[in-house]
Amino acid sequence: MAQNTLVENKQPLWLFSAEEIASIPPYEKQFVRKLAAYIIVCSEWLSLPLPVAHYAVVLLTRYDMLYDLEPRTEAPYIAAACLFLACKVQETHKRLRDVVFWTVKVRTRKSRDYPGGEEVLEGSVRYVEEKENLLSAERDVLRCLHFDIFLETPHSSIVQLAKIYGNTRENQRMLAQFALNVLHDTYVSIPFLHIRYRAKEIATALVAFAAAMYDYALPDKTIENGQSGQNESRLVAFHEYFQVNRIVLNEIWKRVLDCYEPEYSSEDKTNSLSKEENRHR
Amino acid sequence: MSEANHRVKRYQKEKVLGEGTFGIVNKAKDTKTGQYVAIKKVRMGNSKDGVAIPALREIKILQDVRHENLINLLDVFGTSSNINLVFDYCIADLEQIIKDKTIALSTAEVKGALKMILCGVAKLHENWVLHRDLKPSNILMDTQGVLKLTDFGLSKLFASPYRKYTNQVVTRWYRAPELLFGATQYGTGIDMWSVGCIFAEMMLRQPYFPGDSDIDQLSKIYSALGTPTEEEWPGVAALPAYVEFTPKPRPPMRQTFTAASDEALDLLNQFLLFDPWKRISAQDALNHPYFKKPPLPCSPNQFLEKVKSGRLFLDSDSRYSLNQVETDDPLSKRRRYSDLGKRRLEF
Repeated sequence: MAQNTLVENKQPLWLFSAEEIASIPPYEKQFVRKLAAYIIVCSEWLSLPLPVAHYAVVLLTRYDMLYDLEPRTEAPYIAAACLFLACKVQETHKRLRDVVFWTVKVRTRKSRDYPGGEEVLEGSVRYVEEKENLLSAERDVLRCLHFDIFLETPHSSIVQLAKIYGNTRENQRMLAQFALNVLHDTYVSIPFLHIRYRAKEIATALVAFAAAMYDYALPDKTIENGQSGQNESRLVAFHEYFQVNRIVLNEIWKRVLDCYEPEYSSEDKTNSLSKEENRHR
Repeated sequence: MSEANHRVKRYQKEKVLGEGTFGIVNKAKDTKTGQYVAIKKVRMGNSKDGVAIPALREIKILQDVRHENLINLLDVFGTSSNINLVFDYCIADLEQIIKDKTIALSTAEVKGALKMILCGVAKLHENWVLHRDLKPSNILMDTQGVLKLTDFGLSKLFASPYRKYTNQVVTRWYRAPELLFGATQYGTGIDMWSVGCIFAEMMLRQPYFPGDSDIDQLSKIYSALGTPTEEEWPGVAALPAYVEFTPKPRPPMRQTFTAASDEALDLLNQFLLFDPWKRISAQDALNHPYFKKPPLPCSPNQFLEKVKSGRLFLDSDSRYSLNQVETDDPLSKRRRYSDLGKRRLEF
């Protein structure tokens, strides 16, 4: 792939520093994770594609960074509103009555009154109440996020990288599938990752992570003495494709591995990271 | 003072510019910059399914794709019942310019206008966006004479060529024949057909295919271009709403466009090819010899001067006036960090 195909970096408008994210209290981070899981479960019942749910989780995280999710009684409505908005923005339209039905049912599951979840049907007084709360939360989310609802998710970049760097269809599928699975986990376990790093950085890190897990050497025809730019037709190194800094990649790897603890010890982490580093030295 | 409150008061409404399907457009003055802006007010309070999808589409696309020939979204703010989209203020639309017969558009001016339209369409298509409602009233002229595409409420991303879309798009007069035959899989060709209709309209100074029903629309197209054969448009008979017409021969275009150059007619023909896959793309159209041969396309300034010479500007600025600023709904949320709050998107 010629070097001139490198994708232009856009100014990250919605990325927060490590300090800003660290300033969120741990109990609140845990609460956001619970809401993210709530969004994912609702999206499954609504038969929504996963990228829509992921989109909603990022909206929720952005919201939490600007305005805290207190009082907690409002928070599930904010999460449901993020999901409803994500459906609209991603052109995966769902009827309001279905969104109300499933978000209430999932929210009230395992409660004393409704062990199987409350079923709110269109036309009932409860429906009107729930609908008003959801629509009010939707307007609230839009206004709090300053109507900036455009966001890039790593999904397409993962597929793009897997197609470029997988040498066979089987390897391409393997890289993309593993990276997408890990990506899904990040939205539930470390949702703040998506407001810390660019989508393309996350995509690059996860494809490299998938390659490391399968012990697949990502092809790279970079000339060893470092003067690799002279050959226009060379395939750029995987981290160069989206111009991702390797330090950032390592940071993302560490965050991702942390969410799989104790499956991978810190020693394993260092080993696999060093292995990947050595491969590109 | 809350931010929403502040932002509503920042814009002082002066008059109604127009009323569309989704809301009213007002002219307003931005007290911060002293510039005039257009504010499109979209109702969101009473909608059955919450915030209107066309408004969200428009916001999303205009945040993502920016170009000189696309309307510039300056700001968005909400009140209790509306979303307000703040755009560059434009002084006229192409429909008004075409209808004003006191403005004599020369070949250079038609070329200049078409070039600006094509640049905007090319940028959209390059970003995988179909406009799906191109027509003269959706092409505005700003204070510098630059034409800008607007109204992205029907726009759509077209990443997958196999995905099905609704065929109930595009105002009838500018609707491509595949849409009239009910096609649900289509691409950039539908916008290019509309561009062809607009190009013809600029030369004729009246709509080229003013049908009053879908059948009449097809009839008018066939009267001007002849009925397509299976060779010209493979697969036409398989379209869902295909209707067979009595074959009509294709009359020479020169009969209708008496003053047009050969290059202009060739380009128009390529815009109006029946087979959508053979229709010229916006980028190829920009490289067509029509734009290379003299007279060369005029500059936006020259276009503005010509438009200003017409009656259009003598009649303007006298329609409606509104009272200042509506009541607003203060943003009651507790802001977490003042510094994070400042991170808001600067349009």
